[in-house]
Amino acid sequence: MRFPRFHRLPFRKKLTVLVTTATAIALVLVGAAVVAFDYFEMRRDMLRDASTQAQMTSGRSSVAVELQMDDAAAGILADLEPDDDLIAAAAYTDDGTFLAGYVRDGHTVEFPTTPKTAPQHRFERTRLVLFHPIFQPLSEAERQLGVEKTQVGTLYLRYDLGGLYRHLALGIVVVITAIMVSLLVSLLLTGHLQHVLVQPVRHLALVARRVSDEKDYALRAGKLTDDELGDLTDSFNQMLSEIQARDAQLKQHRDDLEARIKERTGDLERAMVAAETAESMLAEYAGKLERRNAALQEARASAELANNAKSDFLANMSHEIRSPMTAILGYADLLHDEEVRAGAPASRLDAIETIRRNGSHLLSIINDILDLSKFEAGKMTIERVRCSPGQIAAEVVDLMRVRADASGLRLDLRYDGSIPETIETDPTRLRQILVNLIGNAIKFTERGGISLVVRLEPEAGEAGHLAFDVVDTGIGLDQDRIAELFEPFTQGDESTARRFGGTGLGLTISRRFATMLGGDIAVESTPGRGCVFTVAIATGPLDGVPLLPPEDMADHVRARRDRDGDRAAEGAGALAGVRVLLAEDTPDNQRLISHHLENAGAEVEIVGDGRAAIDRVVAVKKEGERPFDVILMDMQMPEVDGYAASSRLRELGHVTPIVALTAHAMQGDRERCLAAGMNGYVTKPIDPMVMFGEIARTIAGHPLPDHEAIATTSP
Amino acid sequence: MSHGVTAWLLAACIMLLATGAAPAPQKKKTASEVEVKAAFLVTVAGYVSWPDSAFASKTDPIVIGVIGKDPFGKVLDTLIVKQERHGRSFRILRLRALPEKPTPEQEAAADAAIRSCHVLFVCSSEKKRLDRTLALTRNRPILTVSDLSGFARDGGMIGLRIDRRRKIAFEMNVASARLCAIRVSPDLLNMAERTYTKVKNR
Repeated sequence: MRFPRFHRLPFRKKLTVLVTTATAIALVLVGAAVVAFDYFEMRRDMLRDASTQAQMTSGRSSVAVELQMDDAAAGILADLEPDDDLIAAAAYTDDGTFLAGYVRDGHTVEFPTTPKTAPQHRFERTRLVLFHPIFQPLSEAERQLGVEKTQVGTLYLRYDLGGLYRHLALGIVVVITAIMVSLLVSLLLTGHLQHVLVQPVRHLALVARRVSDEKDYALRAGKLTDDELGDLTDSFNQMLSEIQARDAQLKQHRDDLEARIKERTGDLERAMVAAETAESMLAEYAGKLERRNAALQEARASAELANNAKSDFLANMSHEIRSPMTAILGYADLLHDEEVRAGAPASRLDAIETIRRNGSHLLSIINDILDLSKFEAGKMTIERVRCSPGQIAAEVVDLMRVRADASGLRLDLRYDGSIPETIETDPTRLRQILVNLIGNAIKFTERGGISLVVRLEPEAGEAGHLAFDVVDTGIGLDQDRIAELFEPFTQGDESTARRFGGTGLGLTISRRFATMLGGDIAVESTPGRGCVFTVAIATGPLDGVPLLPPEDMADHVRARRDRDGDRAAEGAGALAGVRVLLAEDTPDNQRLISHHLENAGAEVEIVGDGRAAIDRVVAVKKEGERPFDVILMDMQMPEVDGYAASSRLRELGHVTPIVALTAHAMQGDRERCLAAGMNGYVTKPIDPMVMFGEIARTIAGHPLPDHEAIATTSP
Repeated sequence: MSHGVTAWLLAACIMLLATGAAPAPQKKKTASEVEVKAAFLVTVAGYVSWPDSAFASKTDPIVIGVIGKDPFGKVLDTLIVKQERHGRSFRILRLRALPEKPTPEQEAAADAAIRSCHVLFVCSSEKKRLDRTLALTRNRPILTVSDLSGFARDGGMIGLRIDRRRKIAFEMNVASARLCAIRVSPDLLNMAERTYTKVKNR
């Protein structure tokens, strides 16, 4: 229930209010009941008295009524006077006529004109009205016989209810007074006795407040009563005990904690100091690291620079080294041809041949060293071209046959199973490897022969490996030697080296190439019986590539040779009438190259640098002279180099095919050339056939064969 | 005509008027003296009880004897029609006045006649013979009523009188009633304007 004001009262007042209210309600109800009951009882009594009176009076007045003795009747009615409540009475005869009446002094009454003959009463607001029949008397005997009474008249009585009401009022006053007194008593009693209930509660509250104020959990509330409050007190005390225990525990924990905190703080401080030290150390290290990083960056930068320098060096060296060698060899050839034409004696020819042979040897050594350098520098690249393995094998065998014959050794080529018509690899490097291996075989075989066996190693998937076995009947190798074999500069042993010559680089390089071509070189040998060197290379995708059985290989090779031969043949004479502009700064190379060109029937004009080349072309155009069919552009020229010159010419709108002469066969060179507007390129040292082929191709407008220069760092 | 006659006529007129114009509002039409007395006779029977021996059976009527010169004429007879008291109807018995010197047969006859009455109205004509008449009713349960003045004093039970307003009034001698075993209702007694408690010794 919502009685906020009530709830705010202190407990004892609440108690008082409750008791008083309850008592009041009870008393009021009882009082009301009593008063009401009393009132209705009184009314009933009144009615009963009235009825009795009526009864008696009607009995007494029957004679008068029967005899119409009005005075007598009046007298009888007047006898009712002592009843204070009676105001008026009247007697009527049997036909309803008024006979006599009585009215109390001080009242005026209008008697009803006709009485109600049936006995009845009516409580009106201020009065009670009765009609009572007046009967002839009946004797007891007659009554018992059930004889009906004869009504001889009617009595009318009127009573005042004033008395009743006064009684009621009095009753109410009395009851109210009684209630008041009772309430007062109850109030007093409650007031005095409330402490019986309130005291324990107060005590409990007091103790609770003390406990919370003083935080003294040792306090306990006294159990003053043995009722629910007593139980509450017990629970309260129990709770306090618990709190006390917990408090003690808490204190204990707190003390422990404090001790531990102290400890930890100590630890922490030490840790912090350590951390600070560490931090400063870290900072130091960080500084060091930074410096080292910077240094590293520098080092890297310099390494890169060094690397680039290395590449440039290699490139330059390649160029620088090979150019003179090319010149030497070229001029040796020149000399040879001239001497032959001049009918020189055999001794002179031998001398020239010696020069040529040694020069060649030197060149091959130089090439090996340069290749190895490239590998070391990670600058070695390989191509990936579709080429015929059969053709390559046949060419290599043809090439080495001379040497084999010279050593009195058999050299043959076999196909073990079907061979793919073409594979994707670097033909130059493959050739190099095979030449190296066969060369070694020739070198280390005194008797017997060498076989080159080509076989496809079956593998799942679309790519596979093509294996070339070089089988010799040479001195063989034992296992220790095999391990050392691929290290640079070893040849099996020192004595063998002296016997067989060579720099010992070949195998190392071959192996590296083999790896770059997606395969490897393996050795099997029985000392004294010979070796089998197997180079396996990746074939690249073989889908759609026909597999040629051994019997068809010969035809296939021949067909390709003819085709290339045509090309070569084309090359040999097809430069007839071709006007060539040669841009080359080195006089030796100028002479050499123009010699080759003129031999092929070309008309050659020479300029010494890029600028001159541009000017010459422009002039030719302007003069209306017959334009050049091709421009051979040396890439490394002073002032304006090949790239610049080509670009410039293209800018100026000249469409003359330009072939680059470049010593760089390195990554990006091809692209650079093409970007500069070249149509083809030839690498130095210049192979005349290749040059002729390239010139013919560019003049004919054939595009460069599918090249894919892979920038692969050597493993 | 003398003044006296005129006065007498006037008085008679006035009396007539007085009787004619009865000043009772809402009242019955005034009844005649005879009617009133007759009504009394019937009424009073209701307030008096006779001993059972007074009646031969339970249905025997109440006999109202009228002795002497009957003043009622047909009134009484008309009145008693359909009237009942105590569950009994009424019968009127007219009796001749006692002769001066009745023969024993006459006496016996008279005696028997009277004995059969329950109420005896002694007419005023029997004034001189009152004692002898009453003697006949002595010790007998007979209610003696008369309009002779002093009747109740002289031993009769109820003496009737008509007052100025033509209302009945009566005196009662309770002793006489008591003597003959008639019980009189107190209510009736109450109505008497005078009651006598002694029987005049005769």
